[in-house]
Amino acid sequence: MSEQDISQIAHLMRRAGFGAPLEELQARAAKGYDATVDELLDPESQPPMERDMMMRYKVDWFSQAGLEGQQEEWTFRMINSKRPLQEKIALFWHCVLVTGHAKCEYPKQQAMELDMFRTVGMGSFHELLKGLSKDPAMVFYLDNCMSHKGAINENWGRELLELFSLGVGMDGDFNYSEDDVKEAARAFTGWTVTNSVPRYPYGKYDAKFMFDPRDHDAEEKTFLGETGNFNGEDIVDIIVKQPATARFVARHLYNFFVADDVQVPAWKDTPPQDIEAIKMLEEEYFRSNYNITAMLQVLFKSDFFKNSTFSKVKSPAETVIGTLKLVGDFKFPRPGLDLMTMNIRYMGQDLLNPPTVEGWHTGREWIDSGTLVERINFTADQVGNINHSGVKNIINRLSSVGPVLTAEQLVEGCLENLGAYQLADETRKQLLEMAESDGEIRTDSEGFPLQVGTMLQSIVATTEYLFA
Amino acid sequence: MTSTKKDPVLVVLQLAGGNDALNTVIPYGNPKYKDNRPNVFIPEDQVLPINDQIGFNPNMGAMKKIYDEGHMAVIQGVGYPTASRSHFRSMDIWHTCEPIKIGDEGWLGRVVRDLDPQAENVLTAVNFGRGLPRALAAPGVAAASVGNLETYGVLTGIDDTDQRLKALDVFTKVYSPMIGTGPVMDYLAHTGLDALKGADILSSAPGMYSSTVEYGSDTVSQYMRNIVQTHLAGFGTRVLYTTAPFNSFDTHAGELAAHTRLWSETSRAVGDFYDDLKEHNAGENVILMVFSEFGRRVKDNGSGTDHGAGGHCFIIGDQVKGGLYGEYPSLDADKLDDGDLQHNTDFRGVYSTILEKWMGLDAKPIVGGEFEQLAFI
Amino acid sequence: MTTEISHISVQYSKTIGRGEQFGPGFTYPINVARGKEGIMYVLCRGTEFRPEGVRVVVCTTDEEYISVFARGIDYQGPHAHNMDDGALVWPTSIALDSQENLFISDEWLNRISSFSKDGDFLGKWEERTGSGDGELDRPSGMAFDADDNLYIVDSGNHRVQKFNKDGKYLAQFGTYGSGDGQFDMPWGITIDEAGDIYIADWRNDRIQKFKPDGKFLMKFGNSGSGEGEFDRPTGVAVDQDGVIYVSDWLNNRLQIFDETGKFIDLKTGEAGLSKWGKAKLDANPEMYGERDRAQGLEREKDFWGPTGVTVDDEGNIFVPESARNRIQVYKSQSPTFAGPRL
Repeated sequence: MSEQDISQIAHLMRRAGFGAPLEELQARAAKGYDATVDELLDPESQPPMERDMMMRYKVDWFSQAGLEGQQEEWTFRMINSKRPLQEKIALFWHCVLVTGHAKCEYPKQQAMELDMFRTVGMGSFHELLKGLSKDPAMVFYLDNCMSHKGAINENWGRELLELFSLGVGMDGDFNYSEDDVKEAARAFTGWTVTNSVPRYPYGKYDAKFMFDPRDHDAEEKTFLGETGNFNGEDIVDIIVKQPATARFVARHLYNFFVADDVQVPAWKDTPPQDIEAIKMLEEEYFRSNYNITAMLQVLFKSDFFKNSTFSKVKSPAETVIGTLKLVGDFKFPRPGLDLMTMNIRYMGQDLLNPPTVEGWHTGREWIDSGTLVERINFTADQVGNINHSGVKNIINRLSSVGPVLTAEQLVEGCLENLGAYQLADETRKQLLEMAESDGEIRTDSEGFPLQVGTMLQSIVATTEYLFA
Repeated sequence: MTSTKKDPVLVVLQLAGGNDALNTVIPYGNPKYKDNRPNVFIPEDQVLPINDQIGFNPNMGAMKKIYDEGHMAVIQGVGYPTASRSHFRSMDIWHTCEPIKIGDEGWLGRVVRDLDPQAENVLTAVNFGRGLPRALAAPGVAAASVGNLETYGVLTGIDDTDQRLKALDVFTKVYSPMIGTGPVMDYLAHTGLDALKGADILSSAPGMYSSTVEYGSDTVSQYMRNIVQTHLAGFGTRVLYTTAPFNSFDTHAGELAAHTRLWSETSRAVGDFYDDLKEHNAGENVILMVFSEFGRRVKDNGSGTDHGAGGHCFIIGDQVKGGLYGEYPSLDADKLDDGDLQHNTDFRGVYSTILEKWMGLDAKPIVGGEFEQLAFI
Repeated sequence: MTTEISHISVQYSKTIGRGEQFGPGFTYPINVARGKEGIMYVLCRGTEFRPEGVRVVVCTTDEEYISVFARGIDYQGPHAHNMDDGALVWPTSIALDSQENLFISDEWLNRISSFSKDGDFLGKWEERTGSGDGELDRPSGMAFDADDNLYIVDSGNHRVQKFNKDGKYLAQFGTYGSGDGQFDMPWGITIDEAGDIYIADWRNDRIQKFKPDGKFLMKFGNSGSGEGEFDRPTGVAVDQDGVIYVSDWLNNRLQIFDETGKFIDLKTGEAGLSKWGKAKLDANPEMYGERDRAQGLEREKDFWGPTGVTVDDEGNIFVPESARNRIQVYKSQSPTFAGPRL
């Protein structure tokens, strides 16, 4: 297989998953790019997580009662799932269809939402929105349980339109009016949750969705030009038919899987950077009956995707998970994963607890001088730890090249092992100079492992490595 | 606004976990105190009296001294309407000033943006402890979070000094902005150099510092010392923040012993901080705010207290007009709010006072409205 | 003993515990041991985020709090094999010798620590990670026989090992697999009055019974949720009448079998308010209102992930539910007529 094959598979695995060590990339490249895409899109073909084993050793992953424990559990899944796209799509929807711990205060309820994202989130967007409208975490987070017949709370109605489906506008025009927000909110009155069992003395119980017909406004509504005695499902039915919704889903998929776009609030007035790509995805949205897997099939096999290497700044989750996968630690639940997981928070992405209902701003906004220090030091500490099995594998592979490496071989070898990374000429020159400054690079020398470690550390500190 | 020429500086110490207000400023003169606290009360003869009704926890000697000197304001009964008894939610409300909906920016993040709109100084705000508190988070605002000031830096995991210097040299060169590489790369390059510069500057602070004050070895003490070191180094830092770790004030059980240790450490840390600034003649432009996300239940639960509502807040500094502010909330059963102290001062009024009278900023957009200010400055 | 015990009656008795990071209450109670004079020892697994929650709580069967001892690791993270004496990382089971000294297994450190009944640290066996004779890989359940020999379920090595109480290796049985006498990540263990050994063969969803020398005697159960079927059984206990109790983890129930392994009954949980729980609510009275308004409060009765089962000489059956921070106690009514009236 060619370098080109490896680099394409590395790109796919970074985007559709969380990266992979070189041996996995080689195995996948041998099977072929399209076959790998098909496998990723068919998660059921791969074994699920061994939940019994996870919960046996990590008792708090059973109760799902604490934020940190649940962040850790998800991190473990993202590192180890044989269905990487399932975890990636859960992360994707979590970043779009936002609920937050600061309000929900019961991670199990959000974990149930994530389970819906893992399965329904790869199916029909229509079903997903219906599920979301009845998801207790969401109903509570956006106050639909506080919206009553004759006294609506617009929060859910507004965010459903603005942040979860149509978007404020496209091509310079608004996608909906203030009246549409109110009418949608009216249609969802009576969609509520049960009063939950309080946390004292034995801990919380998950709340259930409940429809209260007495609190439902059954009068006529006019929503996006259609009139009828709509309920919430009718609103979702109307929403998913809209061209704006196709644009919204396409643009989010593009922003998450292909290349950084401007921040969501700017989408009304800023056209997509690759309108042809967006159009392809929009067409597939309607052709497939709003099917996310079908859209991803088109996306991952497109040229626009294959040509989009290193055009996204990695999110903190992608950074931490990708690094831990690479160094091969935490294949089995063990103490210490909690501290690793906290690094995602330190880099600015407190999973399950996003700062606002808009989720996190992405792209270069992940990076500031505070989070950059966290990011570089974490990745460098990990890849520089020559006791990690994944790092040992890298050292062994480089040693097997021969007794002496040229500076070029060392730099290129490290780049390949990190996932076929490419560097700007100037960066490459600096790293070559650094490699040369130590004199002859003997793979049998005592200092060789450390030399590799330092090279890996220098590479992960570059601007290039901030990208995926 | 004070007349000092130096820029005003705000230090915040967050007592995470929910400090028991009732056993901090103790209403020892009120028989209802003992009635409600059969198992978790401080005997009258141990209280450090403020007047014949209330007094400080016996372990708060150092802070009592500052109070007696007239430089500590005790704001009684601070809170907000429809109190949340959840750590996360209530802390979030204190951080974002948004008690109803989910807030989108931290109040101090907004302060930093007002102070340094062009983000010219990477050290305008510094947090001590890993992970940025929500209070300091706002889009476009960078604040360093320092886990360990002595070892703070970039690529600190490279043990070998020579290797690290080489790697840092490479780092500097690869982050140097290259013409024509586009705004994103340009931004990242600048940010990288800023991070390196900020880390270099910050880590120089301990070396420039000497003091006769010996701080305790607990986390809060060490971070209060780091705050003084950073302030003395003159980097132009205006907001310094730290948090008592591990939600330690969450005293559901074994409260008397735990609270004794917590306040011994915290009060000493605050006293040392104050003395250290004084020793360096550097306290005139500094105030310290000490707060917690909520107080605890009026009734004890046998060996501790559970999550409650209204609490106290302390403001300390040379320019602070010491004394009691607000009213001590009533312990009468019919005046309690679901079994908790009722607040009578909105925390956003405390913030507004600090923002307008101390920092010289327009408080309204930062705290999201107009709230009654106090006279402690 | 006859098989007539099938009309044995097991009744709910009470609930003990509440969620608390320290003091009276539990943090993920995973295993219970009964001492003399109404004393019980509750092993709290805790979490790595709040190491103070890792502890042994000593209380009475009437829920009088006595003390706590042992501790978790410092927050700064475990230093793989450099843990201080007495520290616990993943404590899993607790066993009492004839002097009522406590032995605690730690699935992370592969360490057995011992404490006096007053909580003084007595010592630990030398570290022995591995798969050789006497070496351990994730030691789970433990039980003493009448001669103070300690049987340890060596779960990662899919076997049971026998030691004297100083840690000297004596014997072992079992290998990986699903045949008779083979195991797949076994967890709980108990020893009956005859000295026979019962193992909760966790991933094989069955119970196996052995002679003290490891000779296979019988097995019962298979995967499923019907009567007599299991979804990852965590613990097994046998009472004086030979009745077998199994905590059926992911089926959220306690199953009861006769001495031949024939299904008798199952309990899905009847938890009520514990003494400590009530004290917690009294200190937070608005919780009563929330409970009144709650829909589905009856769910509070149900078992949720029982992690073990312990019986005592008085016919009490203790079932810890780590995720609910409580222990449901059941009482077996002996079929023997006890008078005084007809």
